[in-house]
Amino acid sequence: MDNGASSYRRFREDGDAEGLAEIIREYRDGLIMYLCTYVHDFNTAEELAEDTFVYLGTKKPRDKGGSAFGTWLYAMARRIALSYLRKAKRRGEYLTENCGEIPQDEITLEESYIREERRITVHRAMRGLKPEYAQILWLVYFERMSVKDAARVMNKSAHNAETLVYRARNALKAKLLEEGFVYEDI
Amino acid sequence: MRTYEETARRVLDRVDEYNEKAKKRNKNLRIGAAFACFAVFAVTAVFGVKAMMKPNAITTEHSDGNSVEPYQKKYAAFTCGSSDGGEISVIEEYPAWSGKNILGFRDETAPKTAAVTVDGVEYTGTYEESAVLKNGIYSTSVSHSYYQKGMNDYDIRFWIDSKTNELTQFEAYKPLSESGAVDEEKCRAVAERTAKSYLGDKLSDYEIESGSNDPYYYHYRVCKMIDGYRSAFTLNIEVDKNGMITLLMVGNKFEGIDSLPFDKEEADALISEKVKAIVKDVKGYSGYEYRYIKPVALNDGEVGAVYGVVIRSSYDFYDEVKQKTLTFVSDCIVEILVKEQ
Repeated sequence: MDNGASSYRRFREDGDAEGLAEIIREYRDGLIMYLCTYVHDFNTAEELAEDTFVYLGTKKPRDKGGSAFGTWLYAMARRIALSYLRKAKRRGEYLTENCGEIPQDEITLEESYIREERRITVHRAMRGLKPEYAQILWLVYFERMSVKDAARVMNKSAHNAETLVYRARNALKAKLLEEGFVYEDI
Repeated sequence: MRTYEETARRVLDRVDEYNEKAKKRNKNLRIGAAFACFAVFAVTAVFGVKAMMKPNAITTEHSDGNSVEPYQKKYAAFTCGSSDGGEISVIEEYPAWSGKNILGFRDETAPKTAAVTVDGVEYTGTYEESAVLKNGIYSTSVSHSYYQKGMNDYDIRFWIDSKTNELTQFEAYKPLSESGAVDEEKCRAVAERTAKSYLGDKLSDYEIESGSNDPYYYHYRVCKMIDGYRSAFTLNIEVDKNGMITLLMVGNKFEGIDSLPFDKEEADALISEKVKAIVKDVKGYSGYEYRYIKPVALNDGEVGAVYGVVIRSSYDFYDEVKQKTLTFVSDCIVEILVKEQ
């Protein structure tokens, strides 16, 4: 599978439902983790990831080919999360910050998706960062996107994204040091 | 947490349900479709001139005749969308960036080193690259960026306008390893001092937003007010907890203008004429209103104002396929630039 592009083409043009299922298999876990940085709630992130796939399946938007399929999908998920947050704000709902115990579901997903213990430590430290920092770090260090692709997802200029990554790394280092960790790879 | 199979099944069920509903809707339901369209036109409505501006490639050329590699950029486009609940959805399509380095290009005519003074400290940088900066629809400029490593523990990068040689942006980077809160008073003093050095003592002519909702930086944003309107001339300053300026951005700078340089009533009349010309073939046109007025500096050194005009239209039509009467509703934003000719 070429990161989902051909699967999506099969689904969109030939109506092959297996194509959509392949995309879900490839991207679901990462999207949930990414969306958690917006909504700070695992169950909501899971719902929003599902909404992203449903949007893909019902509206069948056209991938213009300007960026990789994954970048395009993450940008779509981000817009859905922002739309959800706007509606939540209108309804007077206040979202909780990253604090307290991590839900068991998120721990399970962390362990299966991130796998390495030290990377899980880094991911947990990200929970205490500004959401924007956590969002770009997730894309660049966990989804291994280029800064340019992360900029497209987050609707920023490449230069702004570069600056944001720099600051996010610094903030993360400070956070890890505060907690007594040293993580040289970041 | 659901398994992958559960998620896939739920998604495919919802997709099927949606498709079923869509089929039924076509047969049974009376639904008015609401559409909203954001179209950003750049109309140079200069007193009497009616040119359409549609930039998609910018080529820069220096006064000494050396041409610079063209910087290609396609701007973001907006498409219409609709949803079943009558809600408006606007889907932004991302630009297809061309070129290997979207940050800029090498300009062999740029000075190899440059120096700037920020908050009393002089910084000297080595040339990195040049970039085209675009300020909305109304002006573009080329800036050269310079880099200095390890100045008082900070790595410095700054941009100089290629024509005016003025500082357009300054950034200082330093790894953050210490904890501790931002001292707002100290940072505010630094930001105000710097703002005054750029704008003079009359900060009262500017709208100021400041604060520290960030654990590491204090933010200070200044916007020039003209006739009570927020102009495109802004100054963004960011100060870290050490009192060091880590970001300084000057946007669309202009000087010596305290009011719109044209008669507003005359501008209203011109815009009315311009809107009439734009909507002459628009079905169901029902009126327009201003959403914003933004004074801007133009490429030629003049000052104009961008009027964000919302044009409304609405009409009923009979859909042969659905065999129902539907209503088309459109709010379209048109930006009209007004300047003295």
